[in-house]
Amino acid sequence: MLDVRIDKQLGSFQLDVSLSAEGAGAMTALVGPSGAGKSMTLKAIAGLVHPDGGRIELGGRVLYDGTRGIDLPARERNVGYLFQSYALFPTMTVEQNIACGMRMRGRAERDARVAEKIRTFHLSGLEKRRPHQLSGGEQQRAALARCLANDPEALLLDEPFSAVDEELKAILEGELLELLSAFPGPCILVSHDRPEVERLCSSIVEIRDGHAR
Amino acid sequence: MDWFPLANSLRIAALSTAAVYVLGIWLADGVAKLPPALKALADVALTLPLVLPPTVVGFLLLMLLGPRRPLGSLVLGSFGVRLTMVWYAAVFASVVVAFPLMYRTARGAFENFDETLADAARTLGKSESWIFWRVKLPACRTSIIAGAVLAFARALGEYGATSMVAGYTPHVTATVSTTVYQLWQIGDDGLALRWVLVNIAISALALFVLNHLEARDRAERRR
Repeated sequence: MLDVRIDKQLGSFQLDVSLSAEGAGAMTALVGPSGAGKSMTLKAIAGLVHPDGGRIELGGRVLYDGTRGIDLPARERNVGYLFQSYALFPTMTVEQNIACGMRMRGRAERDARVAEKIRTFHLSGLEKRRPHQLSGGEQQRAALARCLANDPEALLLDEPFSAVDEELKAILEGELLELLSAFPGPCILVSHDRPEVERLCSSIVEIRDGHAR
Repeated sequence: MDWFPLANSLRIAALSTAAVYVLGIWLADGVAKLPPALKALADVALTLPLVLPPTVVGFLLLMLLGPRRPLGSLVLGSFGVRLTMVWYAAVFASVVVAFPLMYRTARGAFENFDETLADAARTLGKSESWIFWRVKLPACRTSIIAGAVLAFARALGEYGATSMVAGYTPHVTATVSTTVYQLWQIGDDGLALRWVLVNIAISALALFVLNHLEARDRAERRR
């Protein structure tokens, strides 16, 4: 369970969001026009942007509490983030990118886990490729594999289909649902595409001019 | 032909490049994190040697390192080591003169670095130093190597400040550039010309390497 209530003032823009997301395979959508504050909300949950006040709680763990002065750094939040541009490390291979996501483990165990992710995410044969040698869909799978290799407690997906064309989108949507079906934690998908979130998500939160409740 | 000036020039340029490489990357990263007002000030101070006449740099170095000056007398008194009119004095001169080239190249590369990559690493639980060494530096490596090559070429071509702080003593402090001047002074144009050609050859080679690196970087970006 992820509970979010945050506000932040940025120039004349006011962000005021409260939402909650259940776990267990049910995706929550955060939908709204561009510039409404969708990405900023995700960044605040991940700890990449600091709100002015409010509270973020994940599975009983307080990630942020404005009044108590709690603000865990991003690296301690254990929240997976799939970036719009995928943000794969350009100088590392697919394999190395995925291994990066793993917490401290023995080498043998880590290699086995990387191999397992490579299989699950249909990346076999691409282990030694670098991100620029992959197609858009492959990059997305590699980025998602890297996120999930880290065993995050929650998953944030920022416009995962904005970089692909319509035809591929239908395939990737199906793939994403299948790959995420095993993910037990809360999952928030950000999108500006209403029909898309209606196909993919079980609950929908609308955000407009920074406001969502 | 006595090759000492070439060997001396190469060791001075190599040592200066090593020092400038570390300093340039470290300060470029540090300055980027400063508040805007301090950043502007630090940036001007660190770039100044690029536009100052080398004689001004030489003068300031002598004011600091000379045997009766603050740092020079301290080091001479404590360790019995002179900081001027010795071969390694030229390293100090080359470091100051070549530094801005490394600093500005590294700074440009860091400014173009995609911060999303750093954010991605943070959400994966990585520390800031891991991000710097494993993501940021590798992503910027071509520009950083190009900066080092440029700094090496500049250090090799250093004359003004070097002649002031290291002087010209055959077999002791003579570099290619000070040798050319000396030979011209005594009218040995033939030998001077040979050194000129040696200098042009090495500098041109450095620039070829630089262009090659930049072309490779452009090709990688296009993909």
